[in-house]
Amino acid sequence: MNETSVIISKMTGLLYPFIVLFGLYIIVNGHNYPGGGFQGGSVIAALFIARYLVLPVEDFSMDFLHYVEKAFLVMLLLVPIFFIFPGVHFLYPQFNTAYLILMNFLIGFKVSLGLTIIVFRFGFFREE
Amino acid sequence: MNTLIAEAVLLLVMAFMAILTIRTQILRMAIIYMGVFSLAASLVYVLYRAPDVAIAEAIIGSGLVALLYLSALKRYRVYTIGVVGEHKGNITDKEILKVERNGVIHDIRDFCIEREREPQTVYTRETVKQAVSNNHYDIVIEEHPEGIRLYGHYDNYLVDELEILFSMRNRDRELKVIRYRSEEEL
Repeated sequence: MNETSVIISKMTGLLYPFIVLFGLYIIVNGHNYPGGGFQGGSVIAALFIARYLVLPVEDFSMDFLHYVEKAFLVMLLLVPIFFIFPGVHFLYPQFNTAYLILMNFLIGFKVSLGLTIIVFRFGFFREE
Repeated sequence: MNTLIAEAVLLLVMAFMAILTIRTQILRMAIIYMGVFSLAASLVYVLYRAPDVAIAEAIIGSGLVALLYLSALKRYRVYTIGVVGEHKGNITDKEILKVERNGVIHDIRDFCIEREREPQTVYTRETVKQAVSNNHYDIVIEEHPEGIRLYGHYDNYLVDELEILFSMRNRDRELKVIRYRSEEEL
């Protein structure tokens, strides 16, 4: 798995934009079509994992990913607190769809970062 | 009607893949079969009108889990040690303790962990020839009256290193490493 094959690297390069597009499509249409934050997030995680398959190098900070993931978790808690609890969804019902899409986006990015961290931790695990 | 046939075919494929997964000898093949099993399961979910679950199953079941298992397999390979006793009848705890106290098996375990293999020990009533011929064990240990004997296949490169390790340790007990190309040599 460590040696990079030309076929795999070329095909992964071709598939990159389509993976991103498909993941975003699943997230954006999650509120009224099959899909949603979790599924779209795992598609986007597949992007990073494909990169790991082609180029297994650890050239970025894992801690940074951890912090970003935690930030998304905090935002996931804050957005409903400021939207649902004050009753914004009763006062301005036109923002409900935007709220759903925003929540799906937050879930999607959090899931993609989480799965990426799991796989990378596993892949780059070294026994001390 | 068509969906019924498709459902039946997919469920049969799932059962077939599940059986293949546990019957195959090669772990890598088992992981691939499991991925195909997940893919069939996700198609069944589509037929059951749960496309949400189908997407999650297809991505996680056949993508991420297969990849995780593959990278786990790359790290840990199981190294099976077969221990052949000299007695007949059931294997007793006393006998196992006797083998465990003997240092050789500990040395082999430490060696395996150092080499990133997962050691597993199997106590068997088979004779050495049977144990060697059924190919379940990477290395076979025999408690011979003259000392301990290790049987390893000629192609098994870990046995070379074990031989060097034991000769360097210069243990007081008699230990003999026997290499074979085929079972007829024994």
